[in-house]
Amino acid sequence: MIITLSALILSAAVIFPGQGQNIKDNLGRSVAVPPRVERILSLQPEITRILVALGATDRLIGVDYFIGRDDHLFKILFPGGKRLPVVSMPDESINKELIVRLDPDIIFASPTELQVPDSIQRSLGIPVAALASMGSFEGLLQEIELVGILTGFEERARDLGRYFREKIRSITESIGPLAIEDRPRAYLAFWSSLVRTPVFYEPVQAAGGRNVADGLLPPRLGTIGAVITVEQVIKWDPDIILVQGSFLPRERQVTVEGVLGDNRLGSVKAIRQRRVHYTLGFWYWWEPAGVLVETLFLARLFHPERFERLDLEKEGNAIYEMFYKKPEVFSKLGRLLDFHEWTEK
Amino acid sequence: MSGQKNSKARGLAIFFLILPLLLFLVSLSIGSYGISPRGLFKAVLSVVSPASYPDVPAAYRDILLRIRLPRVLLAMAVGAALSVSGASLQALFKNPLVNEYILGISSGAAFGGALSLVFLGRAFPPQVGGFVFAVAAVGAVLLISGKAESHFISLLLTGIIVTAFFSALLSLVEFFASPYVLQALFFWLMGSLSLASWKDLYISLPLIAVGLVILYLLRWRLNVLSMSDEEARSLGVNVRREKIIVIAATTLITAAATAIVGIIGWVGFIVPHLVRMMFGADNRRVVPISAAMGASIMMIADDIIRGVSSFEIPIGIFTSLVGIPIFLVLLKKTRKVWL
Repeated sequence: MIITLSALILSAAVIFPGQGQNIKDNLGRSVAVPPRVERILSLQPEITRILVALGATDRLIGVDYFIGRDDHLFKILFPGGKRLPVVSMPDESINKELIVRLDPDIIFASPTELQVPDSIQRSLGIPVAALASMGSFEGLLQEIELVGILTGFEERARDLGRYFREKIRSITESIGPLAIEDRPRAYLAFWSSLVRTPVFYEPVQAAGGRNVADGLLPPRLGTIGAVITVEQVIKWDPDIILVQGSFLPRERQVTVEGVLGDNRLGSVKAIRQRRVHYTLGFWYWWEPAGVLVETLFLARLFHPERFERLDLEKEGNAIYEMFYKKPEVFSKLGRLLDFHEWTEK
Repeated sequence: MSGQKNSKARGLAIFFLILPLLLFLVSLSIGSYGISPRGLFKAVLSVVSPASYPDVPAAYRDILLRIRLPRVLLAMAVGAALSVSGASLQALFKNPLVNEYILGISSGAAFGGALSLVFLGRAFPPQVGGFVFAVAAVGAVLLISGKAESHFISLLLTGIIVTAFFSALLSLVEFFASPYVLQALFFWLMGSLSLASWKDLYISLPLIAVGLVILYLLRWRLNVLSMSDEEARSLGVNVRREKIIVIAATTLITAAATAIVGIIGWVGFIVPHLVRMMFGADNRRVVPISAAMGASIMMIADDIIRGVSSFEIPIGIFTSLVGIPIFLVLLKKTRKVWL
């Protein structure tokens, strides 16, 4: 079952600071962007987080319901965000009158909400760009760069991009070259279900693992997730099972304890060896610092001997500080999500 | 000539009644984990006598006993439940357009499941909430319509109103739900057998079995209830009481099925029509053959889903995509309205 139909990788935007340009968004739409973007309405949590990371919070004039109401991390990263008007609701309904009142120069939306961008742009005449990383590091970096250029924070965007690439390179170097059989095989139970799994998850690959569902659906579908059978999990017999843990503990429908206690999976290696762990996973797309820390955590999980001296809490806090200029964010997140193993020395 | 036709129909009926048993065995051998029939047989024996079959992989036993067996049984039960429910309601309301969800069961179940997921969390299975509110929705329909249950249009309108009301309540719950809970809710609503377990069967099977037995015993009365109320009364039938029993039994089995696997459309609508096309409108045949054919169709659909690819299409989508064209072809071929 295809979970997400949004298809295109963010096209490299040809845009220069101070000039109005056309950008091509993830839905393949051409969007005319004004030369100076002062007022941004972001209905896309990933973009909102990037704006905070860039230091462009004063440009943010409104947000979507998720970031405004449900994103527990955003409250730590940008406490002022709770005062921002919430424009969209869970059923994809949009308060257009509020949008008119807010008078944004540009609106960012998620490409998964297929109807929203055209609907707003047509009725209000405000440019709407549907952008997301689509679960790819390169997509995320392009997004950071593009938002940086649009907001005039291109230098900061370049710094963050460099930092991100450098961290990934350092993880890859620490792992070293790996034969395919040396990559632990991981199954990912995402989106509140044991049988929903991403068919592409770059942090696993970058951390020296193998996602057993990789390539289950052809990339041309633009799919990021599939529903599989419990039997298929047994057939894959993964070394490790990763459960999406970005949800608050009380809201988790699938838990590590539940998976370990599922007697249908008794023969699976990961269960026998009790290698079932939480990882962050998608969180209305990604949060750039979080996905870096997650990759680091997975690298240590997959290849503990190569990351013996890694203090994940210290490193995680440093990464968050680089992105959001706030101390101890990772420690707070760990406590919030009850990630003991993340912060274990 | 007529005798030949009757004997052909009888043969076909026997075939359809036996088909679920054959499909049950076939279904146990289908899945993404390749196990040979010999391997399956040994896995069954190893359950009885583990020491005699030490070489049988544990995965075989888990797949057979904990995954395929409950799933196939659930597919059978749900297929039979939805089909018999549809057949009974179509006969009762003397209307071929009626389906098993007409009395608000689906929206009641969806609301109950949502309420449970959002406010009670993991500790309380959404299936229980789904069942309770599915029954509550039908109860509300009967209560509001009062004595109108003898009048199809009034009951239908009340069903539509109650469905709309519960749909609005569902939207309200969704509005306040966290997105994480919504993900689980949407997955459940899609209708799937992918997570079938023994626990699901323990909850649903007894309820479905009770409802099916009641409707089977009442199958000849459905013929009487298909007539006008006056005619039925003149034959000594307590129309009101019988109707309430039929509605209660169909509610029980549909709610039990929907609460476990979500909303699976078209089965309860198409199967009774197929049965009537082949065997006529006599409910003494329609009810049992609908049960057998519904169970068979659901097993075949699930076998295709499990056997064709490693990923899974929700069975509700599959039954609609495949069932509707088949039904249209048959309808065009026979050009009849049955009832």
